[in-house]
Amino acid sequence: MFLGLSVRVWGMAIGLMLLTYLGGRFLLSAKTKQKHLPTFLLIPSILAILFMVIYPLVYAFRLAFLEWHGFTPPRFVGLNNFLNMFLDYKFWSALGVTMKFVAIAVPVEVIVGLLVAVLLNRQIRGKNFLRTLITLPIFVCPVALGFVSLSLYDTNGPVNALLKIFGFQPIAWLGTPNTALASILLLDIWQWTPFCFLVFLSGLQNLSSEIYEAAYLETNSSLAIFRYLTLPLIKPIIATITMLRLLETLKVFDLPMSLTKGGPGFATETYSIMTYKVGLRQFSFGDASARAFFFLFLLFVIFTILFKIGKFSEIYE
Amino acid sequence: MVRKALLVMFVVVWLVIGVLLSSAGWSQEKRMFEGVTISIGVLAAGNRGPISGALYYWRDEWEKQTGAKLNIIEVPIAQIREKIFTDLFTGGGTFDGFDGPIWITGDLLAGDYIYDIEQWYNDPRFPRWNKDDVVPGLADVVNKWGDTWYYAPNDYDCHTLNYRRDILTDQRWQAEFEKEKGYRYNVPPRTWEELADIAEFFNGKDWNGDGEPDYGISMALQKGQQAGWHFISLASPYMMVPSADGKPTRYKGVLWFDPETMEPLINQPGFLRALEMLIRLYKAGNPAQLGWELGGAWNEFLDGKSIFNYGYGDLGPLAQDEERSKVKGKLGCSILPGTLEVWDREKGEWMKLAEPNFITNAIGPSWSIMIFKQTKYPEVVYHLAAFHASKEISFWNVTHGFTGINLGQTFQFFTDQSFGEKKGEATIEDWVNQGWDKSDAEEYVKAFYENYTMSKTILPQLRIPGMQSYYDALDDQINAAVSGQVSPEVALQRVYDEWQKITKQLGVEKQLEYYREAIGYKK
Repeated sequence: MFLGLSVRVWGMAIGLMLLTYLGGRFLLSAKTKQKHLPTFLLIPSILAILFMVIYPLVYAFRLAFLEWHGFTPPRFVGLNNFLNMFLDYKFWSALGVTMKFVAIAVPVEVIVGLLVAVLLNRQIRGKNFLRTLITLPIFVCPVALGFVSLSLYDTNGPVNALLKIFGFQPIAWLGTPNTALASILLLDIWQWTPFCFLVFLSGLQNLSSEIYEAAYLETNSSLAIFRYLTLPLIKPIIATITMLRLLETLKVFDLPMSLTKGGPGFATETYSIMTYKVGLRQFSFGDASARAFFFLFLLFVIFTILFKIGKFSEIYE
Repeated sequence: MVRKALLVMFVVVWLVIGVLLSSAGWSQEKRMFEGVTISIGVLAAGNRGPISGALYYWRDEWEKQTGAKLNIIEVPIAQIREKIFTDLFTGGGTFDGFDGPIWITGDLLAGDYIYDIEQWYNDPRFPRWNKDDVVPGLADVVNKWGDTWYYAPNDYDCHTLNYRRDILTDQRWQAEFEKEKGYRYNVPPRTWEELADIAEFFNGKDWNGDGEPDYGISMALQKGQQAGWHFISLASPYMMVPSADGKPTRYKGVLWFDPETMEPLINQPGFLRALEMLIRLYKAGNPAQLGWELGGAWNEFLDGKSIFNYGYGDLGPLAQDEERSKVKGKLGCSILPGTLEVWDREKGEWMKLAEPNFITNAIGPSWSIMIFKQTKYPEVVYHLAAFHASKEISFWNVTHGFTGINLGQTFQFFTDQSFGEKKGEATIEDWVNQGWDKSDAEEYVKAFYENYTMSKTILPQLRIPGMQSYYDALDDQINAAVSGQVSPEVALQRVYDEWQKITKQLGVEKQLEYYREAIGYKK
């Protein structure tokens, strides 16, 4: 039905692109070609964006106003999907879990990443080995990490074995609401702090040593130099990395999905998991689309506020 | 001379090629589906794993018989519904059929996506199987929809009880239990209350002698997995008033919805008591249960660390694998416990019973071969389904644990077990020869037999359209209630509200019609 239609539209788009190319290639005179060449060259890209980005976006937006389960004909329901979404406690719960996740993961990853970068930017023994070691977690696929961690957090797994050695009782890491979220957060922080570290390190290494030499003539306090010199200099990097991590953690899906499926209860059900369940498990396509668009709007609002409060536009100037 | 030699050589070569070709089968008569390839989706479990294992094992034989090629496409369990319907919605044509879970039948019929199999059943071109061989009542809730057959017999899932026979029959433990609880328990326990008492008694004690405290029960309660089904199985005797002939009436033998109004029954007192029981059982086991898929719960039982486990029949075959199991030869199996009280909706009160209210359990995917209407070769897919349903293949499948295919046809049972006029045809040697411990095999088959014969009232799988939405709503709340995030009352009321909403969205009248057909309700 709808998706079948989109297959036809895709065919048309690709056909149009081919026609444009062939038309430009064989039918136009040399003079016209030269004059309009840039336009012709742009047409395939514009068409590609139109059909690969704009069309699906419009299509999905339209879906947000329909009730459609796949096996029944779609029905226009106006703003019902949005209204139902706001009345759904699972929506608020998922939003809450996501915000909690972001509020803990992003600051920890950015701050720890920065501190480790500052530490390993100094002349210390074995720093190259340490740098390599620290960056390793980035290369692990999040879903794989999730499945490996299932055995890590198992009742008889290595984490509990370690606890037992120190005389503690084993913990059902993924079996209680509080420990489940903490376990996932711990993994996310373990995996993405190195990314922050890596970006900060490259930023720090680009800072001129002459500025620091001059600063050390003024003061011996490393803390003061960090506070008044390093931090202002790397502010654009902090802003960038914060935004990147914010964006990624707001969309977090793989780790909680592979570890807990959003449970126990709703303790780790993030916004992305909730939307996935509504759309691809329950086939409430309209409802899922409404939720996805609301989230897009929310991201827009969050980033607008961040740009205003953090004066990011000044930073990037 | 040279020409003569060449001529002789030519004749010899010609003869040799002729012999080779005929021995390779080129001269054979063309087989029934020569040159056809069908793609069948199946649960991703590899060539020795549950459900997919049987397809792989018999592939060569089936291809040899038909001349067709079987392309097996494995799909992870969490993506099966998504992959099937994405393919069907878009007309992708990836699958000609699917060895799939019957709980999507309502969705498939709502979209008119599958063939019924009545047209081929009596066709002599296909392998023979017998409708009457299916255990009475089971076909109505697995293979048929209304009066029409959609699936040939393959797998029949149900929840049964597994327990540590060696520990529960130990007189020392029996005496200690009696001293503590004031009564002597039955082996196996006959009611959920009795089971909970036993689980609580053993929980925290080192009854396996490994120096560490052990558990009373192991259940797979992870969200998005089996918590909802475990709860429904447990709830059925609290909610299903037995009907005299096993056929559902408005107030008897029904569980999910009122078959007259489609009103959910989930917030009724019977369900509430069942949820309180589930929470009690959870506390008599490892707290990690809330994070366990089926494998986690099985592992704990196989590792010899819990007294009880209830669920699908896979645990029996797994217990025979000595590399993984410490409980081979110690396994006890039975029908799920019943209750001595059942909620009578008609009178709005608890009905007291002299004997436990046992319910025949038919919860589970009961993997069956579905023939999609998008296929060009429905007959070839049917042939495959009929091949696996035929007596010889089907019997082999159920006695070989790795196939994950469970009993549901009468001939698969022992010769002293009967279903009306139909008798079982298996002997214990059939099982022992496959590596089963004798007593484990007896217990395992007995549990299925008890499940199918001790009650006429059947708990069916919910097969209506939108089943996944109904299930997710239930599963979410059961998980939340067990983990203590909401009270049982709030959880069940939320499920009730969500089920009402889903039914309204999909159309009350339509859903009611589907529901009645799915459970075999006639006004």
